[in-house]
This record gives sequence, structure tokens and C-alpha cells, in this order.
Amino acid sequence: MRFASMKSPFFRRLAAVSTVLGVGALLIAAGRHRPDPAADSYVVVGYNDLGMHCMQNDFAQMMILPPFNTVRAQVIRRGGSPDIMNGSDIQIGYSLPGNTHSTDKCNFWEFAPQLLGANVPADTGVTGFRMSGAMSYDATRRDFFAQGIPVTPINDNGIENPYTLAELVAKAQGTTVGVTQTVIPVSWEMSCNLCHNTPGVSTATDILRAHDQLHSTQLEAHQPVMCASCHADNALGAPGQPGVSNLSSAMHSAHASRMSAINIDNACYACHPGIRTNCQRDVHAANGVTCTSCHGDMAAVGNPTRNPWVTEPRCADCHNRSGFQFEETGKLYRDSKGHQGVMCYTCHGSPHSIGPASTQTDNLQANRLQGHGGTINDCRVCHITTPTDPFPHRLGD
Amino acid sequence: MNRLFPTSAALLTLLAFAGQSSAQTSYDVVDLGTLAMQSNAAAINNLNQVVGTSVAADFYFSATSFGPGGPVSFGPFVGFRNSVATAITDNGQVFGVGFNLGSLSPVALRFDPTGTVSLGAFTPLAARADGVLVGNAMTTSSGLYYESACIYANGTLTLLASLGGTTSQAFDINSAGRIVGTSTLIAGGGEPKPTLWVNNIPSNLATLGGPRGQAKAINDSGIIVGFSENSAGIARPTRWTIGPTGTVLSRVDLSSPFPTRPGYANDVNAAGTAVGTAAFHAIRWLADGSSVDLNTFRSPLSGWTLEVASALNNQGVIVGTGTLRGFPRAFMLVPVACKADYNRDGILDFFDYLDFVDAFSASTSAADYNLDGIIDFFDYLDFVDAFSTGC
Repeated sequence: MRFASMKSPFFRRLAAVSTVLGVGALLIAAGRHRPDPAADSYVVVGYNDLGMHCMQNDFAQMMILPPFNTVRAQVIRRGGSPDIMNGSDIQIGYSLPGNTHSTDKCNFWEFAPQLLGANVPADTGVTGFRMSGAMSYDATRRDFFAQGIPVTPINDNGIENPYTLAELVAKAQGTTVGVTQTVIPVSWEMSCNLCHNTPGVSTATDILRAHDQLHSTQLEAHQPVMCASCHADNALGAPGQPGVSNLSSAMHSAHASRMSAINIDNACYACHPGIRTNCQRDVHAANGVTCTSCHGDMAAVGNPTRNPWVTEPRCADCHNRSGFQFEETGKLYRDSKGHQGVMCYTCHGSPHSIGPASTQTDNLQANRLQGHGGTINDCRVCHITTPTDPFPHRLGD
Repeated sequence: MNRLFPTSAALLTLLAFAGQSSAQTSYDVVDLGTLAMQSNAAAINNLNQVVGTSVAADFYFSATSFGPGGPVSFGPFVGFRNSVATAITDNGQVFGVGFNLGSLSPVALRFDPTGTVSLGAFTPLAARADGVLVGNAMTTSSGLYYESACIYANGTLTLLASLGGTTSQAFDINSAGRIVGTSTLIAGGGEPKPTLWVNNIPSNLATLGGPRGQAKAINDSGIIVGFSENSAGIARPTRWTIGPTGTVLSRVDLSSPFPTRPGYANDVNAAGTAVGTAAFHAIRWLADGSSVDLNTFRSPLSGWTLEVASALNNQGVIVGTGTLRGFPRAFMLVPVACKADYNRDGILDFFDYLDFVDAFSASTSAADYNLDGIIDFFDYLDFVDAFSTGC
């Protein structure tokens, strides 16, 4: 409702006052008309938090990243002043129609007790989300999410597909009011073996042995090893051990000077996630923007003062169009919203696949909603008619 | 001879003398190799020809034939960076799919000796010798994309009706035209149900009490294998037996050596022997329901972990994917008619003894005769005992 009513000065003031009084949610709810599935039309837009999730396909010896993926979505009721719907009015179910199970595709669940100290139920991720189910609602962000879905890049037909489509079905009062499909990207192409390829031993053994030799550890004797048990890792919420560099810093700084040993065009794709998969497949790539254009080189990424997954590139670092605003203060693209609460990636797409992407799957949603890929820039996707007031891309517009 | 890494000639001999699988069968593990990086074997015919996929030196998937001379790519292909071989018939026709990652329109391919033939926009997953294929095709509805089970015959692609939902896949077809796969019951987020198509009409084979299941393979006797979830939501390797009209006569939880872990059966041969995976170990189920972890037939010293058995033929030769020293790799398991015939030349003679002693002296993993992961005097004693007993 905030999205709709705050277009008028009266409701802007009302919302501001109600927020101050701490009863904003109540008043906003009182002003919202309940969903009427028969009369309303809705737009459901899904997105991925990172645009690519890497994982391993073998956890017998070590774990860098488990199967863990996240899909998020916003639901907007179309109208002259569209509403962003909340979790009390709308429920979203998610599923991966061509990729419904994982425990026959990787051995994570067999080694989870040793790696994590607990059993993880089959086809269930470390946060409890399964391969299908109900999304949760995040009232702060005003979007829905399923975090930690344990999807692998192997479809049920046995063919590898890093760009599996998730299907999101929004319901109001039990009636389907909207459906969308969005990519839930995952790859295990990470090619540590490009360098860690000592004959006669596994890649993981080669890595653990090198670590033991360089850092006087005994990892090879204590397999399977979870890297984040010592190296702090924001991706897993692991605090690490005092005095040990965080995992991102350790990995990038240790390898920065060694990447010249392999002969590939983009050294980042040795790990993120691979040459075949291409993490970056978006409009930036099409315009010559490379990984390092935004993230810096490996030494920069490995800087120990950098807070991994938090200290990340911002749109505003490059985009400086006069009058435009980009991310919210102190937030990244993936956490920011504007246009009365619309998440940035609702219109622009997931990070690394910002439209138009080079992949059909990533363009599917925009194509379906407005007839062309790229940014969702046809106002009529959400507005019944094209608004006459200008939209200069400021956070409060 | 290293039984774990046979030469081309040795592989031919192995296959020539392959024994029928039985409860007592032992297997030789054959490394099917790779074009450059990981590989997986998807299908085998009754001539022991194996096809699948390997990652080539350019990092892309390549449809691959795994023969005695080593893996050979069917490519290159114009218009596709990736290709996968999914099926091979008893008359040697190989089928698969070409695609670019992130594409919504994979193209079915037939890999002929004279070149590759495009068959249309679908993904074949099983093939009969008469050229009938089943698989799935991408369909669109209101701008959304769904996989739909399909059959390709006489140059015509026909979509199969679903159980009512938007998504379905056909995984196998038998000589009578019975097709098995999966289908959802309802549009929008429906769970996959194990499905049988008779005369292209779908029916729900039903699960062991849980919401999900998939029927992966069917033989000419009407034995279907796959998985279905039980009431606790655990995937169980499942065998359905159907009657002539497609009526389900029985539905059996096959269990496995890992009874509390999820299990999946992927293929079944004419004898009713099934293969698949449980606890991420390759598993074989005999027709009587007994199961064995196929890793018990390889020496722990070999570096192999056999993870998923994908297919088997009527000779009981099994193919699948495991890891060889931690790296994904296609394997073949060849039944051994006489384990004491150490050099697998079909003759039990003194040369077998000499070859074993050579391996034992060199402490190769092939000398781990009793497969306990230790090369010691017990291996020697066990070999001599078997040699003395004869075949």
C-alpha cells in the first residue's frame, strides 16, 4: 500500500507520522484493500541474490561451498497506483520443475555430519529450505525468499544446466494470482584442478597437502575439512578462528600471483565458476565490462581489510547520470530498493545477469512481462496506464 | 595387466568373456577415460557400446563415445557449444542433444558416422532400435516454459499428455511402446509423480506414500524402476510391476545397503536387475530385491568411488559415474566369469599365476585380490585358493 498511497502528499505524511508512532504497519494495512483474486491482477517478479552460486560436486575431502541457493520475489498488484504485496496477503510457492532432487547428484548429505556436525535431511539445505516449498516473507525488504535451496546444476534428465528455472506461484486466499519463472543459477565448474593436478592424488588432496606444507596444518589427516571452520566466511556465516585470514582474503591473496600459470582468457573463471558457465552474462559483459572492472584484481579482492560479500561494487561507482540515484545509502544493489519499495533487481534483474543478458533463460521474465528483454522499463507492467509524472530514477520516486 | 586400467585389447577380452550378473558376480572396474576433464557414461547397448559426455579441453561438454580405443567426441557441432549423448540403440544409433547453456531450445541430434543429423527441438532421453525416441520438449504457455514428455517416431514429434500438470518428462520406452517418466498433477508447482504412458495415455504409478517420484526405466516384462518417496518424504529406490494393460501389480521399496539413506534406481535390464545409487554409492539390485554396493567390487586402493550407476545392459555390464582420485569419471563394470582367470583371457593357466605375482611384486592396486584395501599375504593366499579351485 505504501507503494500506492504514498504517491499522494496526504498519504506520504500519514505514512511518515505512522512510522514515527510505530504503528505504521497497522495503518498501512488498514488502508490496503484486501486482495481480490477475481478482480485484481498481479505481477510476480523473481530474482537471485547473487546471480550465480558456486558449489562443489564432491564433499568427501573438503567443503568450500555447500549446495546453497536463494530465490527472492516481489509481488505487485497492478493498478493506477500499484501495491507491493506482503506476506499476510500473498503466499508464494517455489519449485524447480526440471530439477526436483539433489541427493542423487552430489554427496553433500553423506558428509554433512562430519563437515557440519549435524545431519542435514535429504534434499534439504542447511537453512531448512527444500527443493520446493513455501517462500518466507521479509517485511523489511518487502519481498519473499527461499534461502539455501540445495539445488545442483544437474537436471533430473542427467544433463548439466547451471541456469535452472524456478517456478514461483503466488496465491491469494488460495487462488493463484500470478506465476513467474526465474533462473536459480548454480555451477560446480570451479576448476581447482587447472593447477592442483599432482599426478596420483585427488585435487582436494593436492590442495590440503599444499596447505599443510605451507601453513603447518594437518588437514590431509583430518578429512573432510570445512574451510570455514578456520577461515571466516560471510557466505556461510562462519566466524572462523582468531588470527586466521578470512576465506576470501586467503584464497584470493594466495592465488593472485599464481594465476598466470594457467592459460585462460579470464582468470576469474578458473573459479567463479568457470569458462563454460560464465558468471557474468549481463549487459555489462556485452559492453566490455569485465570482472575486474567492478571488483578490482585478485590482490584487491584479497585485501584483508575488505569485508567479503559486503564490500562489493556499487552501481554508483560507475553510473553517475545527473539527477539519478542508485543504491540506498549503506546498501548494495542486491539489498536496495527504490520507486516506493521496489527492489532494484525487480526491474533490472539479478546481479551478473542484469538485462539484457546473453542467456535466454535470464531474459525470460522481462520478455514475458513487457515483450522485450533488458530492464523492465514499460510502466504498464505494473501501472494500468503509463503515469504522466516523470520518473528520474531517484530512490523516492 | 592392471585390471583397473585395462588396455584396449584387454577391454575387448574382458567384454568378450563377461559373465552374466548374479549374486556371486564380481566385476572388473574399467576406467572409460575422458577427453580432457570429467566424464560420465549415460547409456550402454547390448553390444557393450557406451556413450555419454566428457568435458573437452575447451571446457565445454562434448557428446562422447567410450570405446576400447578410448573416448572419442562426436563433435564438433555448428551452433552448439555443448553436446551430450543420452542414448544408444542395439543397432548402434546414438542420440543426444546440442545446446548452449542458458538456451531454452536444445536440439535433438543423431550422431551418425557420416555426420550429425538434427531431429528438432527436443531432448531425447531413450531410444529404440527402430528409431523411436522419447524425452522432453520445451513448450510455452503464457510466456512460461515447461518441459513436456514427448515421443519422436517416423520423423514426427508428439507431445504426451500429462497427468494434469504443466511439467512432464519421458525417460524410457520398451518394445511394446510403454513409456515411463514423470508428470505433475496440477499446474504451478505440482510435485512430480511416477508416470506410465500406455497408448500415450498417462497414469500415475503412485509412490510409496510420499509426494514425489519418478519412473526412470522399463523393461519388456513390464518391470519399472525409479524412485518414490515414502511417507517420511525419503526417496526410496522403487520397482513397479505392471500387467499387460498397465495396471500396477506391485510396488516395492528396493531398499539398499544404506537402508536409511535416499536411493534411486536408474535402469533395469531384461533379467530385472536394476542399478542406481543410494547414499551416493552405485548400487545393483537383483530381481529378487537383494542389493549390493558396487564399491565392494573395487579395491579401495584403486582411487575409485563408484557413485551413480546410470545404465546396464542384458549382459549385466554396468556404466555410470564415479570419482577417480576425487575427479568425476565415467566407469564401466564388467561381470567377471572367473576371478582366478587373472589376465581375463578366458583360460585359467599358469600365466594367470605369473601375472598375479607380477602385480603382487609391484604392489599395484590390482594385487589387492580380496579388495580389502591392503596388499598382503592374504591376497596371495586368496588368489592361490581361487586358482586351485578353478573355474
